[in-house]
Amino acid sequence: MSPHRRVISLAALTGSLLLLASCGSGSSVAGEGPSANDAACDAAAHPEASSTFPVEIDHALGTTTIEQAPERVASIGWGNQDVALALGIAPVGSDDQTWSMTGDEGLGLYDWTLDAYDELCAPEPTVFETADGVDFEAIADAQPEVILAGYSGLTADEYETLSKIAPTVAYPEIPWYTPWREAIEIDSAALGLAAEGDELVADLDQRIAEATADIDSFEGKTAAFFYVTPSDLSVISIYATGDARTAFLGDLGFDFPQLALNVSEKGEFYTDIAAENADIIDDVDVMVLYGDDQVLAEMQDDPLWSTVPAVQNGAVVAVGSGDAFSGSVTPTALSIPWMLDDYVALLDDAASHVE
Amino acid sequence: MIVVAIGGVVLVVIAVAASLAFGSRAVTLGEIAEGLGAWLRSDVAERIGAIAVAERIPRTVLSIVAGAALAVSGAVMQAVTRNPIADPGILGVNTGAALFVVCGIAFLGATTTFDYLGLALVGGALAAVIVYVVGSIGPGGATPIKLALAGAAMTAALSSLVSAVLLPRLAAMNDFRFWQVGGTGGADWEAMAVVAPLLIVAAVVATVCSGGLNALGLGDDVARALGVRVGLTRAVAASAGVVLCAAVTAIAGPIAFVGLMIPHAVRLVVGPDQRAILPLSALGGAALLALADTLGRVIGSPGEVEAGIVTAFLGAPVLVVIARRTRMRAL
Repeated sequence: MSPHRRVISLAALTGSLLLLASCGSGSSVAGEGPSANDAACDAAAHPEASSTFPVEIDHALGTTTIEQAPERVASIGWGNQDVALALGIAPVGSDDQTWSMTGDEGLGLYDWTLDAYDELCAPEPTVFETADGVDFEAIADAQPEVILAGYSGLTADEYETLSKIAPTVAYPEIPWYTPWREAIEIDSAALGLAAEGDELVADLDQRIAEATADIDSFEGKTAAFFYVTPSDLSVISIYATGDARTAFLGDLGFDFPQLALNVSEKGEFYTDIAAENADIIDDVDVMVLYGDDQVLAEMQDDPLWSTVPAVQNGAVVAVGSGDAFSGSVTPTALSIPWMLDDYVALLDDAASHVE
Repeated sequence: MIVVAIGGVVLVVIAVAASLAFGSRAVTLGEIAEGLGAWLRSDVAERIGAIAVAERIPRTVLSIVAGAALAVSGAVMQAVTRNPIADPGILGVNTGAALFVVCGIAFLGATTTFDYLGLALVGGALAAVIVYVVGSIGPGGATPIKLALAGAAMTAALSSLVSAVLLPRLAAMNDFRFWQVGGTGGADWEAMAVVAPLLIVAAVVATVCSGGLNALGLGDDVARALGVRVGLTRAVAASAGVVLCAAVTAIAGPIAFVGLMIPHAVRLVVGPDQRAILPLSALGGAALLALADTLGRVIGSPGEVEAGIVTAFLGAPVLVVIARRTRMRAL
């Protein structure tokens, strides 16, 4: 190797080391400790774990043992941080919830999550970037003692790598297919707060019952969650009943249309049908979909979509796209109370259009 | 030549008939008649089967027009770059269009076909101009090999930019992926009316250039000796090819393989005369895309497989067979 080439390869090596070192810096770093001048914050303390450690948790990717009550919690995937926060534990790091954000104002966490940090007087977490997969380096930097991923899409390889950082709890059975109750169940068990998790579920069920107590328009009607692309109305995409978004419509008291049931039976989380076959969804009373107010008008202008009774009647709820509300309808422990009343009102309005 | 042309026309007619009669929904003859009748009276049919047939009309027209334009564009690009396996993507048109569409979705809130149209046209044309300018720098001007290299480099650079803009914006990614697959499901008369004049002008320009392209096929020196203005011919023909491709890409997304495969196959049948290759490619491309779209609707039922995916499926093996069974006809 000539001296000249040696210099080049040295430079290349240094360059790549610098690059490696800077990889983690894309994530914002959490401050140390709660803000001391807030008197109310002194009262905030970790909840006492109800389970006796070690706890063992079976999930789709193996069995995880957590030896002692975790102080530092990391959350990846969707909404798992909300479970911990609802139980009084503020994760030191969390995946960004980009999944339904536009990215215009920077990416990160939704209001209901940040509000909970405020209430617990906890410092805002490190936000792990999800754009190019699991942000292992940032997660390791956060030095978690447990990693919550009860609602996520971890692969076996990712799970193995994460398990070297800290005990990791994956989804119960199917990636990205964890109903919110099960997400609370598995995440709370990992925190040693299984009993508190059950209470949280009961509390949320109570809230849902209260919010829908005076509503009689949902009874005996079907509802499903759809994905509509206004620029190409030749395709109708419908989510299966097990998808968290559709399942929540069931929690509110709706029945499911046959197509959503069929898709679930096949083990898929959504399916596309051609608009030519729009009569397949004739039994849908209320359609929920992403998009703005214009979407319904565009669907009504389309000859095929306009044959669907729900579209004719205007029994359509557009939840927006890329904003907080459209994110909240994929329910989490904290987004449910945040959106419940508004969502029920929108659905009630749509259901009243059903003929 | 005339026999081939008649064969091409017959093929297009069959493709149109198939595209109207078959789809993800099985319809009866009565529904086909009712749908066509209602459409002629600009009325909305009663039965959903008939409505479906009426809705197949705009997408059949789009697939015919898009297939023809892509194939002609491919033929022009192959002649301009003297590269028998060139396609419109070689000048960076597709990725240039994609980058502008992505930026439009991410930063400007573009959602309609109309928005995509303007963005894709500007992006595709801009990319082609840059590639052409870069490829023209240095001695010899815009030689085929320099154009191909500049195009490949540009495509690589632009696709990283597309990813960079798209990755942190999953909501934008959802909109983009529908466009990006390439299909005729979003067919819409208004958008087609906007691109039609562009396509007609570009097709006429390409046809006028076909004699000059024949001369270019003999090599730049010979062409010059024949009195052809090499740089001008290449630039004008390439512009026509870019407009054809970009306009189609705007309304149907990037559809691969039509521009690559059809002119190549046509050249195997009728030889290297561009005056025959261009019109026959138009017929072949129209028939191929209409059939691919129909096939995608039938095999995907009750859903659909986008035409862009079917052409890739059909195109790849055909290309392998062509490459293995015959020596590539040099340009």
